[in-house]
Amino acid sequence: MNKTTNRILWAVLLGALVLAPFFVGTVEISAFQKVIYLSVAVMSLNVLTGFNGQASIGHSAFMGIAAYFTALAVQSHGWSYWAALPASVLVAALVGAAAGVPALRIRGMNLALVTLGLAMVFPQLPVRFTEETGGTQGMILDESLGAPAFLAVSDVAWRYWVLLTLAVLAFWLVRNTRASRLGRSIIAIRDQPIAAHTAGVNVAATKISVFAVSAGMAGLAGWMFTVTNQFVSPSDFTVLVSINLLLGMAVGGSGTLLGPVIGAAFLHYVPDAVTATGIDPVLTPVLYGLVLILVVYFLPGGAAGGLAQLAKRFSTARKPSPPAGEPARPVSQLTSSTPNP
Amino acid sequence: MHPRPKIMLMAAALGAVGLAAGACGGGAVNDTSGAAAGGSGLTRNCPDNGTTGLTDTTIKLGLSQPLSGPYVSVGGQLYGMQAYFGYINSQGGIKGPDGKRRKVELVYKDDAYTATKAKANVDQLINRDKVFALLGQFGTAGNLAARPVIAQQCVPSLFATTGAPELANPKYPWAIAGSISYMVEGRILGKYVRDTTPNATVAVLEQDDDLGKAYRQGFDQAIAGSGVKVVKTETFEASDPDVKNQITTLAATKADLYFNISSGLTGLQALNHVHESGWKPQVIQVSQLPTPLLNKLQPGAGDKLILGTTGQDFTNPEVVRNSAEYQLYLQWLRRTPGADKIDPISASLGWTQGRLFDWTVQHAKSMDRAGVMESARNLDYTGPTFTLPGIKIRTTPGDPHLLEGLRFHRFDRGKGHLVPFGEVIDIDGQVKYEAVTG
Repeated sequence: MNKTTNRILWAVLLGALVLAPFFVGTVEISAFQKVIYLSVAVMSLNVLTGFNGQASIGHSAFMGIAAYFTALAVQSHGWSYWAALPASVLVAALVGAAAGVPALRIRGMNLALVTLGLAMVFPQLPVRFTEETGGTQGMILDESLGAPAFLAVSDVAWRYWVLLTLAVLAFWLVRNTRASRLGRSIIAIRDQPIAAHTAGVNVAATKISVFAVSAGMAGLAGWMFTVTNQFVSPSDFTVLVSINLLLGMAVGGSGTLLGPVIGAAFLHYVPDAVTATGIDPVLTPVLYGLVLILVVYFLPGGAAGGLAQLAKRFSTARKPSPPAGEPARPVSQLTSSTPNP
Repeated sequence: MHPRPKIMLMAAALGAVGLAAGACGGGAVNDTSGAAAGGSGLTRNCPDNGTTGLTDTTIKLGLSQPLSGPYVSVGGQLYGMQAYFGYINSQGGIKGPDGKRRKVELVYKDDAYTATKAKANVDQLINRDKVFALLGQFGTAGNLAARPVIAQQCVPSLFATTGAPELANPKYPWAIAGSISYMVEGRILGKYVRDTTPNATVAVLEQDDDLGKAYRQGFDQAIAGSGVKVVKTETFEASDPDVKNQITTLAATKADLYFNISSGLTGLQALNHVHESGWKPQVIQVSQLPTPLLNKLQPGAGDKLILGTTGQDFTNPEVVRNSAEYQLYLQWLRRTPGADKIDPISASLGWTQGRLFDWTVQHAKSMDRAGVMESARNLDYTGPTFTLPGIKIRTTPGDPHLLEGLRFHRFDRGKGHLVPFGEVIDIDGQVKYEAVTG
């Protein structure tokens, strides 16, 4: 698939998404909003794990921190949602940077365990400060992010467009960073940390920055969460949410742009589909597990990787075939599309 | 760098086209569900949708509750509810004030006990599935999260499965709780203590959240001005693995009474620790510790335990034998698909909710949402029930608490069930809404 087709496809997808509120109802648009914030959350994990090779089971906490920050700022301190946006992202990023410090010394499973601690502790905080946060009952926001009156559109559609715009910006930023010098060092640290260090990459600073950016993005998802739901509760940010984000990343495909979107759609629609088919919902986690095993086994690049492979086959069928024995590369190996320094 | 911004421009152009054409579209962009309509009292600011979910022969009800996830075990009510609707549908359906019989269609969704998922489910049930009302909506946080949706669309949310005092908030008249409020229960426990031991000293173990605070607030109100004195309070987090330190501190007070505001396995653990400490207080237990759990106590640990309950103890075979209603329930539960793996006692709540809904519809003045909601807020139920005789099942517009009475029970370890004593204490009509202040 060449660049132009790729661009046209993205443009069509975006166009369809932008126009969606004119054609589908409120319930569907609310569902799209959820897919959007889940996409951003999965992407934030993708930036850390997919591009930089650092593991985290703590992203539910970063989301929760920003979501609660927004809720408290708007509900208890009279901020506007817009004022809470940069502040909540910043707070999440700062916590992320702090959480990234241990990542300098530990890797892989051990790092995952440290972030797991964060995810397990976070839901206790709102309960500890029940007076301010409503505790386990959660906290309802009376104020909503309403549409400006001169646009004459419904609030739901407006919120959807705001979320879509921010998500597109975030994805665009990730895409451009990935193609930049910084992006190449980030990926180099994942693949060959020692070689990257030798080549002059400041491994420590890069790792912490990636952690901070990733947490900040998760924070953006948290802000979106509060905007969408006008409600936060500790049960929305349990460690299970982190694990679902990991699942979304694996299913969609790590290290890609489309992957998080597919992963988020999977996370949102599959549980509903399970109930709709009449299968006992108790089996949803079993189904998740099964899908995960199948994906890891047959589609190591996730759904996006699989699609890219498929597209490559189609395009190579029309062109002179590549030298025999060269396998189609999954999109996750994007390093290969950029020239090596 | 790359010409990607062109795509953004294209998208923006598309959006502009859409906006220009927006006025004629029928999608979410023109959603007016937030717009206010006329009406008075209950229906002030309600959209004109009072008979949504009704046909001449059917009535559609919705429910969001955990069907998967760590709290799946508490979701048995669905099966009890299905059993009741199986029964009533076999009789031709629920008779409305218009004389028509309607069969019940129940639409249920899984929220895995996550509040935001519950809210999304309620949104779907109301706006997509077009249910007439919600029944037995599960969990405190889920109910509170969904409350704005319910209020905006004026959909009755009847007999919700939660004891949060917040459900009685008069600002939100479209939701009503089905369980006894934690605060009311705390008040009755306090009243009992005050009446039976007017000069007692009390040591309290309290779960440090809105549940624990609601119990405590009710208890403190009841003992205020009496000689009963709380000499020590220890708190714990619901996730704490052990409460031994707290119990050691409380045991040192040698208080006459121990008020155990803890539930589930933590509650059990606390009672065992009290027993081991050698402290022998009278134990006042909140009702969230079901009999099957009490049976797991160390021998002797439950000897001085009393608790108040609203329901009959169906772990006692004699009670089961004497209740025609329970026999009928079991008969229909057995015919409900999937119910074989469910504990009949916990599922019986759903049957009760079905019964109450049936009664509410029968006694409504008009067959629409406002009529049914008014009826639920003016309820005086005298039909067959699992509730203990003597406890009123009654609401008024000023006091939407369905249950405000308890009967006290001792735990008999030898027989493995609860033994009632004394009279029912019912404070029906004396309870006003009050926020939990902690």
